[in-house]
Amino acid sequence: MQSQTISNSTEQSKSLTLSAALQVFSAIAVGAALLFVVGFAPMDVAHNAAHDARHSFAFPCH
Amino acid sequence: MAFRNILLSAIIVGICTGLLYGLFQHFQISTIIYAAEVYEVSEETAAPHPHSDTTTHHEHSTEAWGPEDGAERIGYTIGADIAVAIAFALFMISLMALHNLKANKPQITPMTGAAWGVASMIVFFVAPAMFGLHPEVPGTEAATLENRQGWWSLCVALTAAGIAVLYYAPAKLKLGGVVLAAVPHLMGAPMPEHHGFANTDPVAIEALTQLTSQFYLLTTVGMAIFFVVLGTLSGLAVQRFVKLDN
Repeated sequence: MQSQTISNSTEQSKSLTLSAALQVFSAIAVGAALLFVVGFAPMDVAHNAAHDARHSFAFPCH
Repeated sequence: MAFRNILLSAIIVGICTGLLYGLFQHFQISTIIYAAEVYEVSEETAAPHPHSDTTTHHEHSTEAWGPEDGAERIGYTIGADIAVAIAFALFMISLMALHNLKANKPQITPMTGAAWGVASMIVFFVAPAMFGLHPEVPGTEAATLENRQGWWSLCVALTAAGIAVLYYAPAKLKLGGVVLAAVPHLMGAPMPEHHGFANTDPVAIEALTQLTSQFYLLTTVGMAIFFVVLGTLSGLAVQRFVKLDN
C-alpha cells in the first residue's frame, strides 16, 4: 500500500516537473518574442514607433 | 497555473517599471534625442530616419508611418518602454520561479530580487552597451545593424549564462562563467570603419559629442533605476504570487 503511494507520487512529480519546465520555457519565449518586436524588428513601422525607447535601452538602432 | 501567474505578474511589474522609466526618459533622455536629431543630415548620406524630415522635402512617396512629434511620439515611447519592461519581467519572474523550485539557494525575496536586478543590468546594459556598443544618439556612425544586433544578442546570452554558472555551478567550474562572459568581448563588438557622426559640420560634431556623453550618463542612471525597480518588484511578485509545482 505504502509503496504504491510512493510510486504514484513519483510518477506524478515527474509529469508535473516537465510541465514546470514547459511553463518557464513558454514564458521566456513570449518575453523574447515581445522583446524582438519592440526592440529589434527591422520593419520601418516597428522601428519608428519604438525608436526613442530603442535608443534609451541602448539597443542597436539604425 | 504558474504560467498564468507568471504572465499576469510580469504584465503588472512591467507596467509599473516601464511607466516609471518612460517618465524618466521623457524628462531626462528624450530631450537629448530630440536635440541630436536637429543635426541629422539628409537621407542620401545617412541612414533613413523618420523624424528629421516630417515637415518638408521628402522624396520618397511611400514614407513608412511614424508617430507625430509631441504627445503621440511620447505615448508610443512610453508604450514601448512598458513592452520592453514586460519582456524583461517575463524573463526575470520565470527564472526566479525556476530558482525557487530547483536551486539549492535561499528563496527569492524583494531584496534578492534587487540583486537579480543588478545582475540583469549587467546582462542587458553593462556588458553589451558599456563594454561594447555604447549608448548613442541618432546620427552616430555605426557598423551594419544586423551585425550589431547579432553581437548584442550573443553578448546578452553569454553574459547571462556566465552569471548563472558563477552563481549556481560548483566552485571548480565557476571560472567557466567568466570565460563564457568574456567570449563576446574577445571577439569584439562590430565597429564602424570610422567613428563619428553622419553630420560632418564641426559645430554639429561638437554638439553631438556633448549630447552623446550626456546621453551615456543619463541612460546609465535610468537603466540602474529601471533594473533595480524591475528586480525588486519581480522578487515581490514571485514571493507572493508565483509558485511552480514540483
